[in-house]
Amino acid sequence: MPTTRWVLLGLVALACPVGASGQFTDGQLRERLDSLRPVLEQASIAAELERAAAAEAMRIEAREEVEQTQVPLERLRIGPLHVLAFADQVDLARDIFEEVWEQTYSNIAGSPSVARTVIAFQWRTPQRTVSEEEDSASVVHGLSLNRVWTPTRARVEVRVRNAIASVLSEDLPPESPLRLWVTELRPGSLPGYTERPRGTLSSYVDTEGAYRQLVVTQSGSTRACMDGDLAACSAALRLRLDDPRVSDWLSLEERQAMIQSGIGADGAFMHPDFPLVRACVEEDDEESCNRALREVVVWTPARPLGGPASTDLFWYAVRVGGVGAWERVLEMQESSPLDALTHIAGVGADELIGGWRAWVIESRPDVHAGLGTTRWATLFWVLVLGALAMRSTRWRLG
Amino acid sequence: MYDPMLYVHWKQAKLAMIPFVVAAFGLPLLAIQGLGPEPQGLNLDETLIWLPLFPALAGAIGVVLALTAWNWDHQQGHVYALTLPMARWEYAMHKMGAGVVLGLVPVMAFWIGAHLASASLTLPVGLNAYPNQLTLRFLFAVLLSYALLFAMAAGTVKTTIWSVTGVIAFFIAGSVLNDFLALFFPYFQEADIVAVVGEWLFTARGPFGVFTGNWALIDV
Repeated sequence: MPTTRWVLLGLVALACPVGASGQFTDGQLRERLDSLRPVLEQASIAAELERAAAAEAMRIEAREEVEQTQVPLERLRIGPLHVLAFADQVDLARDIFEEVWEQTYSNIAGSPSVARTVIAFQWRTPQRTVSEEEDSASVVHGLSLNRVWTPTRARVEVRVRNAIASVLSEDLPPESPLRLWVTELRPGSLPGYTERPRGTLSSYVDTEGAYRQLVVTQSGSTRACMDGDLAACSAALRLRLDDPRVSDWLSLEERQAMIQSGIGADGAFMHPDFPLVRACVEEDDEESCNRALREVVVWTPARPLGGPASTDLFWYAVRVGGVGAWERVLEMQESSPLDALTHIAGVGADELIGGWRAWVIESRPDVHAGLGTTRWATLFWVLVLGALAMRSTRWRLG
Repeated sequence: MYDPMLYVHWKQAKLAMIPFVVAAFGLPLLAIQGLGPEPQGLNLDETLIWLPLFPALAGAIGVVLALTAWNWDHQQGHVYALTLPMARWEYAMHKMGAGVVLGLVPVMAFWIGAHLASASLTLPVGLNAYPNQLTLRFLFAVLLSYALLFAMAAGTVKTTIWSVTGVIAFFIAGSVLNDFLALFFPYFQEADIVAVVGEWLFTARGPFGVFTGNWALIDV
């Protein structure tokens, strides 16, 4: 029990008999109480010191605990990248970031976002925190990867590649036409959100996916693009900022088929907008078809080639542009995607789109590639399992 | 000696195989349902829902073949096998060969179904049908599934339980083992052996790679 409490108990013990007997005057009582005041003060100070000592001991213990588990941070410089890593993962971070930068971003220079951002990297550690105080001058981009979602080094490299692309995205203002085009966001989309959506560049260049999109997308413009019509490619990608023209994307037959399949063969005759549908389907009236698409099928015009195709074309332009291409990305932030991409690549529109189209067609995926390797591997395992079956012990006695 | 074994296996398996042969024939035709020649082209997304059924069917056929291969033997206490003038390994080899031949029946049905399905479509430029490659993949998936179950059924129950338990234990305790090894070998600080083994099992070179490849009948 602290000293203060003993003193108080003493005071109470002294006061009670005095009060009870009534032998002392008020003055005498005050005098006796006053005589005890120094003792009380001394006890209070002692108690305070005791509390402070206990708190200090706890602080020291906590600090020691933290020091035992905390590993110091180190800052790395890889090309223009700033990376913050814990001391025990510095070599790993250097290897991975160097490899990714060399492979994917080696011709990118002059990015202000990369210059002001520090990527705080950690992998498979118990999610140690990098506080803002450790690097208050820079924007910290956290990249904490746990072992469940990124168990292998290959997946870590993918995440690092994405993180760098995400940082590079910040070179373009959120409402920049180029950024909106690559990330497929519409200006002012998602109303009701207090913060505007910030589309980030994808680092995943899926040229095979772009080829697949070119072949499979149900649009006359993509098929015309496949056949070599560069204007159709441009329309399908919606490289200009003008209003989308449905007739550029879908032929009359395609629109008629969409309307018919949208409302069903029988429903067409019962639909309240039957005259509109009939004018489209039976009289081949383009304007009625466009209106029917909007009002009857409630179809939102969306460019046929987005996603993989636009990402692929963007990185293709950067690659064609070579050294200095990224500086040109920064120069054309408010231009239409077509103007920006031709400026980045440093070539004309036809050359850029034609070159990209040829590159995509060359990248046609070999759909059943690897079946040969799989075949031999499977045969090997079938033989192994067959051999094991022949060595079975079921017939042994005992 | 091989012919009677094939005959006995056929007697055991024929009824059980009928639904699988029908499914093998019909699945490629079902997968292209709704992909008729339309002016706006083909919507391949509609086929995606059917794709997992191809390897599942191949796996099921292998299981049924393997179980019917050993079922009657186990029921009769291996008396028939022990009366034969042949070594154990030779007996198992003949039995396995009989199952492989029987596996060709649903594979042939699949091949016919895949060709019929491909012929019924008018494909736009850039899209192709792959009935032969898909059938080949189907054949190897049947073989692998059959061989795996055949080996397990050939052994004792004790061996099978130990093998299966070992695999499960590896996947559960592998991470702990990985962390322990990381104390002594730097390689394990960067690698996760459970993930690495898991990925290897289902890649082209791994034993189950045939199940995870491209099972599309119609593709670019």
